[in-house]
Amino acid sequence: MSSGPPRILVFTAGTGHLLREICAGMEEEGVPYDVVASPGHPAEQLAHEAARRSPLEVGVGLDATGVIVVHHSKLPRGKPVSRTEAPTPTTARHAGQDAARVVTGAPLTRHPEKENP
Amino acid sequence: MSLVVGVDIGNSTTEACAARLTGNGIEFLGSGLVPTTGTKGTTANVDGVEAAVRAALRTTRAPLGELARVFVNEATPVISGLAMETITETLITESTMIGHDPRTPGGAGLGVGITVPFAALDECSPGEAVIAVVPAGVDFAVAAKGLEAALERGVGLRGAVLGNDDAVLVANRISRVIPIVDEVRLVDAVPAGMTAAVEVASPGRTIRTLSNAYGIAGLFSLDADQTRAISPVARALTGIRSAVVVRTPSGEVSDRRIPAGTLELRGGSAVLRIDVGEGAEAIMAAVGRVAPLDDASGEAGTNVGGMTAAVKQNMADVCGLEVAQVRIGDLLAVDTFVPQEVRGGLAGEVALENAVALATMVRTSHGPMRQVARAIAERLRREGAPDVEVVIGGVEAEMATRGALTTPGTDRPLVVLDLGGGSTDAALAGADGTVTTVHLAGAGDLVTRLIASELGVERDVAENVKRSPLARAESFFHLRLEDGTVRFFGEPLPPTVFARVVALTEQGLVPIPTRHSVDRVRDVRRTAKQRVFVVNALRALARVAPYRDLRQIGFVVLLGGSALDFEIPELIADALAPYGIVCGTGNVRGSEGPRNAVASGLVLAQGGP
Repeated sequence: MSSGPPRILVFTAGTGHLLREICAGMEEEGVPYDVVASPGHPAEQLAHEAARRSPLEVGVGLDATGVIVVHHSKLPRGKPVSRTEAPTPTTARHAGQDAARVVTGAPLTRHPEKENP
Repeated sequence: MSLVVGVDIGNSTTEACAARLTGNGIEFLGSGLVPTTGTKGTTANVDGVEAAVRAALRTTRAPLGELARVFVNEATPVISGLAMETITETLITESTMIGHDPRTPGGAGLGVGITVPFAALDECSPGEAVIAVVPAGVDFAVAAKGLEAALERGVGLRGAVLGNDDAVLVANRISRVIPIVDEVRLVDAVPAGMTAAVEVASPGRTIRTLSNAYGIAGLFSLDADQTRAISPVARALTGIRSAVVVRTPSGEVSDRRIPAGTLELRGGSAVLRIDVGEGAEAIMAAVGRVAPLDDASGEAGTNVGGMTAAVKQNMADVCGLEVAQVRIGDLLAVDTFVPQEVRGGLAGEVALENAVALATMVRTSHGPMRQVARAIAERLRREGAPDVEVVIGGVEAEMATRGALTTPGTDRPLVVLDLGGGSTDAALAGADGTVTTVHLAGAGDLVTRLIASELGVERDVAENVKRSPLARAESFFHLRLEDGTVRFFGEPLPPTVFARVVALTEQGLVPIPTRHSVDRVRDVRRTAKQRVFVVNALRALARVAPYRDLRQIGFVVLLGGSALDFEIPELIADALAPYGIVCGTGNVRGSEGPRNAVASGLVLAQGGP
């Protein structure tokens, strides 16, 4: 874990429109983030490294093949928070939201709850 | 010296107790517990009985061939039914309001203006007060650019309504702070050209103006009559962080009462008709007035009517009776509420509607027990117990009290409360040896039903909520339990339970699909148990107590599956404490817990006095 302002770190080698949605997901949930270009590694490794370096202990990895992984620094590398293969703009947005929700302690998007009051 | 087994065929479990009868008394050998096969008191029970007998003998390796006698209880089939009638309905006509509670609304404040579709924003003139309505297809950057362009031209943009979950994103990209409500599913149905108000409270607060009838009256310049008409809107919007109210010429929100049909209660001296819509209290008062209840029936075409008819039919089939001969023995009504999607809502709004849950039960004086006994004998002889005799050993209630009295620390007068799935049964063993019994509708199944409807979850989820304490996964490595303590885990918890309310079941953590807090779910669970088991415990005791005086009862022993619950016994004990009653979960023969009372009683009845 590094010092610095509280931020989710996004390590990315990936394409623009998916990165934009990931960032939109975190912004909509109100959690700050930084994007760091880091080509050449698979998403899981990127995400785990990002999580280790993030002051919030949460990282996102987007690799050149388009895979998105959300990770937490205390989780084993092989057991990320979520892994999204062949993401669409919607699932990329969800990955960003999930990263933010791990920080805010809100239920993740994958299992949408019933919206009861 | 002979090997005997007592068998108790219950609604859900069949229990057996093996013993040797010697000259000096009874030597207990072992117990067995298996699920009941078929409806209690029918020949379909034979499979379960055989399994229970084998299980009881297995614990001490007593050979089946030595088995001399099997005692079964005079099992009276009890069939119970449940129904729910929703008696109110919230209706929105002409999209008057959007009152859902998106997780992340944008901006803050209160804005009033004329609704304008996003595509028509260019046509607005400077100074015009407008609320922009942005359909789901529009990207957040495009939406923000459009709104900003309007602001730059001097248009009085006072708020926005979005289809997507984009409120924060849009709010961050425009130069002025305006309230933005998002995730409005049917955003296209918001009418254009109407006066509308959008309110978003700052984080941690709830809206103040749109949840106040006079607040709305002030915004839209309403007179007294119009304010009266709009007041259900204000009530529907209390306690949420964001809302939209659109003033349409004839739009309104109404609380409608749904006709729920009548219930006919036939007593010894009178017949009463009562509208189910009057609620549980009125229904139970009517049940009290006609007591003792002879029969009940619901109006045809209603849920209650269907339920009473089905229960009777079911019993008629089991016992080979005419439907007309079957009578409802007891009825319990409970007020409850059901979260239901509001009709005419634009964003999947949910309102808590009032409902009445009804449990009924029917029993017959005698089931086809002789046939069951004969079938058991045939089966056991064929399976290797050539000399076995099957004897109907006694009445269930007497056997239950006999078994319950083996709980260390008990004495007569004693009441056995059998907390089952479909019915709550009580038997008083008086100081003089007499036994008085009562069977009441409403037990574990009704609790599950109440939890399911009040939380809006499936039955199996409700079953987990009923049986297990709750917790919330606060990180990937720790749970906060409902009592506030924390439990840590070495292995990470699955992301599916992260930040969710979970039930701590024996099979592991089961996430509860709800937005409610742990406290709220716990409250629903405990009040459901109170309204069924505590209410029925008091009803049952009042019916069997000498002179209807609860103080005349010395001991109450709780038996049955629900007596194993982690909180029902303490809820009942708390309720009985003021009457000076000793109340606790039974411990039959000092070793069996709240199980095996009837089976043990059957054996005791043979050997003892």
